Amino acid sequence: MKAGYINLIVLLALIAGVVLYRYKYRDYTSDFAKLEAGLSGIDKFFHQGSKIVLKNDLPDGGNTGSFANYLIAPAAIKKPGGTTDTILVLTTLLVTDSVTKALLASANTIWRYADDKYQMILVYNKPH
Amino acid sequence: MPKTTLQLIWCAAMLGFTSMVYFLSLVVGAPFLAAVAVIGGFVVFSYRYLIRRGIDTVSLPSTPIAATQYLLLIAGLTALLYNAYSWQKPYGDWDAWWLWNYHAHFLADARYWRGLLKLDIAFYHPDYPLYTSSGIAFFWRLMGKTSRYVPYMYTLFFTVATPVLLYVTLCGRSLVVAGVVFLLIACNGFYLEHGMAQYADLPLGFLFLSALICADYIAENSRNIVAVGAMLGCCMWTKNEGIMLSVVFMLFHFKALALNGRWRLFLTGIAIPIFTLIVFKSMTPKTDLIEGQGMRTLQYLLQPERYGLVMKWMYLNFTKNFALAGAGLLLYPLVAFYKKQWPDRRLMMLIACLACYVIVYVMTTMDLAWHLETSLDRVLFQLMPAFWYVLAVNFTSATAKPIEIKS
Repeated sequence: MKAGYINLIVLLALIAGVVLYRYKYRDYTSDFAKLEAGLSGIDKFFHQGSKIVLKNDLPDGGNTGSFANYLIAPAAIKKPGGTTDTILVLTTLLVTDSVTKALLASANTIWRYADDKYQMILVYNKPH
Repeated sequence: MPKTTLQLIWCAAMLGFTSMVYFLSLVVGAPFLAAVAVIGGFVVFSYRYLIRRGIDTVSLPSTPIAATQYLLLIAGLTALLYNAYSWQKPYGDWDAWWLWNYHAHFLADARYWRGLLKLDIAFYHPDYPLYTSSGIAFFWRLMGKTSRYVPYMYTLFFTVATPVLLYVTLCGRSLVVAGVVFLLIACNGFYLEHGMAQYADLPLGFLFLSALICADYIAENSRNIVAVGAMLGCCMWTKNEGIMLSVVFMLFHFKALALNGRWRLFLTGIAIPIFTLIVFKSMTPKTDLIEGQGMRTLQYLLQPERYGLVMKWMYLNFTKNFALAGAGLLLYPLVAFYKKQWPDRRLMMLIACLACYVIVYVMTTMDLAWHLETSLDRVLFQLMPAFWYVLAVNFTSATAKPIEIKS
């Protein structure tokens, strides 16, 4: 067996693997994919000392919240409590949660993104 | 050493070198372009002088059954890709984006990457070495964006390269055994699930296997010691377990790697990874498993029921997930008795690695049952490529001889 032929076969296999992956997720619309699309580019609104908390109304809040934390790194979502200057709101298009409604009504919106199902809003947390 | 074997190992070494140089460039604040230049220059240099000229390489012999060799390779890869399709995940398993690719997000940002070192160690493990994370971050920066294709291509490379490495290395000894091993791996759901998870366990398994293969070819060319050093260094730079595995490896190969001035060659290979690891470890908090040790550790070590629990989980894992290696291990004493030889030193080394894992679990400060349930399968998985290789070599050595070397 010639090393060159083996390399060619392996290379073709790797390309096929990528094509299969692309094919499998060509119309991928899970909550993770929506978050990835929505939160891309949000990092320019953060600085290293940003104290961000999350208000998450999405279904499967534990997973989507953790995934949002992954997407916005190196900024990081803080645990609730203490001082915060920014709130990242993940919610449905029709806001039903009264706390979220009040929050959005009282805070300054820095950035907003909406798709066919969810909206993601970054708000400045006014000091009281 | 078969040329393809060397080239696959070289690819893994270059991925490791890329991650190390990129990490060091972040530490010293060097421009990204400088890192790209160093990495690009070394890739070209190492390929020209180490692969083409420095180390003697051979192609597998062109025999009347060469077509069968190609067909088996194509069949194995087709089966692997077909079976892997169902295990593909867009972002890998939980730990992929919770830990490995999360770390990469930090490292991809030259301004704020040090935030990684301040993460909560219990949740985000900032002490985990950066073979995959730093490499992924480098390619993200090169692309100018974070793309889920980069971690996927990393995981795909190792999922494909591991059985291919075994196949091309074993092919010269026995085509039947090489083909059977390749096809069994390609159809092994457990292997593919963990391969596609985008964790660092498979890269570690590949690198450890590579070190073992390079060590087998030291007699052919002493410069393979450099490759052993580089592979063990990459093991250390991949996972904390890699440090332990490398130490065990060095102890078992002390004579081949250190005596008669060979330590210089070994040091040449391992110097950059060790240096990078020391720099990294000096910046991170202590590993939680080490930090939590104290008088309680002694109590744990004297509790037979903890050993019993670990052995029970190991047995369950071997029967459920690693039946091939388990069966090989059970059969091996018969083969050794039949061949009237002492147990293979490489196999003893792998069993010593298993024993080290037992001790680590016995000493764990976490809940033992939980720790075993959540990690033992992945930890054993790291050793499986090496187990498959050693067992295959032992089961073929009675009838087949390694291919001859063309100078």
